[in-house]
Amino acid sequence: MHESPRPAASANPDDPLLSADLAPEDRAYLADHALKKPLRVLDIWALGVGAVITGEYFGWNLGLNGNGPVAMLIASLVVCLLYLTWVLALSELSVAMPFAGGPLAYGRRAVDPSLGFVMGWSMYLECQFATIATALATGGYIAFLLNPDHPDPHVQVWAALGTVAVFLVLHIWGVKEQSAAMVWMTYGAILGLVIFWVAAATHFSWDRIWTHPLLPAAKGWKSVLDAVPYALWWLVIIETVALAAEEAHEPQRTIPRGLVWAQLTLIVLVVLTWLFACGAMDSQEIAVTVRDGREEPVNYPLAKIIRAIPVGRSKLLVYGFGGIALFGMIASYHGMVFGTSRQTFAMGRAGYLPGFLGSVHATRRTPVASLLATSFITAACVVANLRFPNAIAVAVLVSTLTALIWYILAMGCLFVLRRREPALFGRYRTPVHRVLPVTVVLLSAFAAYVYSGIDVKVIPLTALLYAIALIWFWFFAHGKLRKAAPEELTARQSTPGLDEPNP
Amino acid sequence: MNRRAREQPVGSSGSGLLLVLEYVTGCVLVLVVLALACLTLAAYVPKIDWGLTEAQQVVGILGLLTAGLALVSIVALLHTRRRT
Repeated sequence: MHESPRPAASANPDDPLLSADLAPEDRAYLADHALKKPLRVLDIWALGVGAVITGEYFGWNLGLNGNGPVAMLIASLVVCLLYLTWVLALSELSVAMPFAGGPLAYGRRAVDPSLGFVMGWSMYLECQFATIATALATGGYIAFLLNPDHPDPHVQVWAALGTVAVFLVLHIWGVKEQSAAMVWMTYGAILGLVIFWVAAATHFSWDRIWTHPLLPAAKGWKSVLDAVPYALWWLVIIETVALAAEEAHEPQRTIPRGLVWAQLTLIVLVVLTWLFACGAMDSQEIAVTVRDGREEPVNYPLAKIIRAIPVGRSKLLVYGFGGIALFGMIASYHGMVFGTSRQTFAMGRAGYLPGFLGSVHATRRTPVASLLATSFITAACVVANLRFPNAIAVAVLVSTLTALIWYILAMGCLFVLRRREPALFGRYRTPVHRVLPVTVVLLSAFAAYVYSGIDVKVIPLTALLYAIALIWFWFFAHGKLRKAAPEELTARQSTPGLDEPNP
Repeated sequence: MNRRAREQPVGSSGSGLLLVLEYVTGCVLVLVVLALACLTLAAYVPKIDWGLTEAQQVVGILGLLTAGLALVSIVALLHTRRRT
């Protein structure tokens, strides 16, 4: 799969590895495992918005259950601030270490391979579970389109599997081709939201938003805390863009500009979607539906709202919106596949996961093995959804919880590296230099803390996934790390004492 | 990277206005964190009297969060603009 050496890794004069004193076999290994660098600001913006825009279409609405619209708004703005500060702080790390391994590289360089593995694994779990949730939700929207009154769970699963297969092929095809598709899908997803806002505005009432009391009497401010884990779904996964740094042209400018513009776009989308959704329908009905005397989560909230309001009597609007909404789902699915596959690729390339995951296609330079492996896991979980109807809620919560874990760890790495290697951050420095990363840590800790109070118990599942991974790392991978992988190489350059045989 | 970009790192503080904005933004972020601490306390000890109605508290925290978002956005955009 990788017989064709190409000098891609050293083609860029700003490549941090260019100055490395490499052995010929290490240089050959890097060249053989290198990605192209075609991404510019528009591509990064599209990747950021597209990866996250699914959050506007489903998932967030579960936070309205028992909490009301005002609590959801406060939780959403807290999350918007968390992500705005997070992408800026992440840009500093991402530009300093523009590798597909992202968090793996940060933890590896700041502390040691164990932390690198934990951070890389966290991001893998975040992306993998988000991919599963989004594939299922895409299938849910398709099932809704085919039968709005009684969406068939089997149709949902088959449609989700079709999505997995189509995007596997597209990703194997090539990163530039994906990026062009991503830009157009992102435009389509935003158009879908605009159609929703206009339709929902025809049935808008402030009384549904500014309720009396503002917060549910039984819960008070606790309702804000309960809404936070679901509000995270608005914006989680935007950090997959950091993984694109290895494939970005001029990453020191492309990554921060693309990320900031993407984040600002998303904040506008979040507020307007919340406003028009909650203004058009009672918030409790947006969150859950009662079927056979049981409450079930609503997996296609915007379509449900459109169908319920008077303008939704038009079949053209219902089916037109449902069709365009698919752009939102598949745009995000596309970005999540990017994140999942790049993380497993980087961890395989560096020896933290089985080595075959780190191979790239000889001519297209895409990580085929990692794409196949992660798509297979997604497909298996999609099929398992037939037995676990709460799969989407669980996947959303595991994804957001594992995300928060590595956000906090990444900020720790930033502080360690700023003190130990200030020259590393010469190409980009985040604004509000000290307070901003501290804010990220505190807001992430706040968001992680509220998981202890929600109904869906995801902490044991998440802990199990970390335990399995750590057993793998300590007993099988720890002694087999590849010194020639970019994440390993730069870590060893920075700390020469580490350049010794692995234990 | 082109020569112009090499001369000044992206994100380095360039003007006095930017420094002032960064300082104000930092203060607002600290206030947001303090407000969230109060919110958490109010969630678990609802009988605390803060001297404000619920509506005033909601408007206050929404205003603080909006100010934080606006300031961080402005500072971030100024930081990522192409310098001449």
